[in-house]
Amino acid sequence: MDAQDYSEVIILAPTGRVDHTSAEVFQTELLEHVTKCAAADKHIILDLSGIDYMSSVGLRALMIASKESKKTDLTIVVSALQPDMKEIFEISRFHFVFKTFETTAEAIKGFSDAAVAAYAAAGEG
Amino acid sequence: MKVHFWGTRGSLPVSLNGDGVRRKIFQALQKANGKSFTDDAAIDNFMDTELAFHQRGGFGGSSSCVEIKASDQDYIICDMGSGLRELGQQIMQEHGPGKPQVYNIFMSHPHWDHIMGLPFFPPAYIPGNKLRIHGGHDTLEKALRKQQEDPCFPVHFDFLGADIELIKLSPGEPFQCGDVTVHTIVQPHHGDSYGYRFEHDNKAVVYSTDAEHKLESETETAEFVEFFKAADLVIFDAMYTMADMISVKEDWGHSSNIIGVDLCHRAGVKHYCMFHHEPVFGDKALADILTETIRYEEIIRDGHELKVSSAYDGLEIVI
Ligand SMILES: [Zn+2]
Ligand SMILES: [Zn+2]
Repeated sequence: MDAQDYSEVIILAPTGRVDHTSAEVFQTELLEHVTKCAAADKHIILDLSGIDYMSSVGLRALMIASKESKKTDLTIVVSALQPDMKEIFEISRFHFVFKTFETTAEAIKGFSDAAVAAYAAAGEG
Repeated sequence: MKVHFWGTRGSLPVSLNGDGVRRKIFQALQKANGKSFTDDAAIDNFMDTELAFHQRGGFGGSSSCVEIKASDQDYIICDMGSGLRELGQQIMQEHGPGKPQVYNIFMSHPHWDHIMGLPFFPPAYIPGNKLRIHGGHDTLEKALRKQQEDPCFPVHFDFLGADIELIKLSPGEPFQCGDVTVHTIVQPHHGDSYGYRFEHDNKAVVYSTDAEHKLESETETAEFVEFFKAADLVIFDAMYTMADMISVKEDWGHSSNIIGVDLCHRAGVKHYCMFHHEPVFGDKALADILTETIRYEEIIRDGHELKVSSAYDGLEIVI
């Protein structure tokens, strides 16, 4: 999954469908980032704009990441859910698990000025 | 085959209280305001077409008990939750005390909400009746005896006049119950539970309650996909929402609505029926969860369409 650094924030942007055929890889990669970010005092914005849908195994991976993050100071927020994914988040009650933002630009505003500036400088803001 | 749901609630029977009844009446009157009805049929028609299921009826509150009717065969009953009481009453009306029957009972596990109906099942008191209680637990008889011991209950197990036989089943070994073939699977739950697949006349019904599908291991998940394979109906423990199931209610022994959809999709099941409802949820909440689950199925559907429903006390599904 694509990972971009913006000061203390890392934006992860997985793509495709997360179901029982792809969830294992998704989970392994996600948790690797969680471990790395926790060690480096960084935070994660999970930009899910590239995810078409996610079944229960994928949601489970997100929950494990959330639980891991709570053992440290790491914050994970979710951004840019496609309409189907937004519905899946509501149906599964995952909108109570993660703070979600309409866009990644919105999400990054919750972090430092340096992160916002770095994001803008990359032409993303 | 026909499947009749006598009890669909999980963990503890519940009852709609006066406030709940009042709310339904209020909503019905609100909808009927200004209308006039020429006869009773018009009222029925109004209720069926203009009131939602949770307004004109509801899910009921008896705990797990499902009857499986295959041709004119002896009774097949899954679990003896509090729903068994009403089934017993109907049987008494139908046969009276003088006509002995055979009851083949398949037990998911001996948790209280799955055994509490037995002392209130009139046929169990009548000599000549046969109760064949099947299950995978060695502790089944102990649990049935214990719930009827002092100081918890006045009538002891030995006082039940019917001929009661306990039959131990082993997962992986098909069991013949008349012309119905029964397959058994051990399920993840506190102290284990057992799921059953009933096959008759090229149709298959799976009763799989009180199972926590953690999705930790694909081997384990695939085993259930195989057990559910191409079933006409899967009755599934969909007690919690997904987030609850894997956070605050982790290790409580139950699954979520959407895990059931995913497993049934993979198994190519025709009809997925949510079961073992959370006692905290009222009729409106359960109706909303059904709407959401139908929508989830639509979103993740990959070709094969899965019918999604939610069991309620009194529901009969013909397969
Ligand atoms: Zn139960
Ligand atoms: Zn149980």
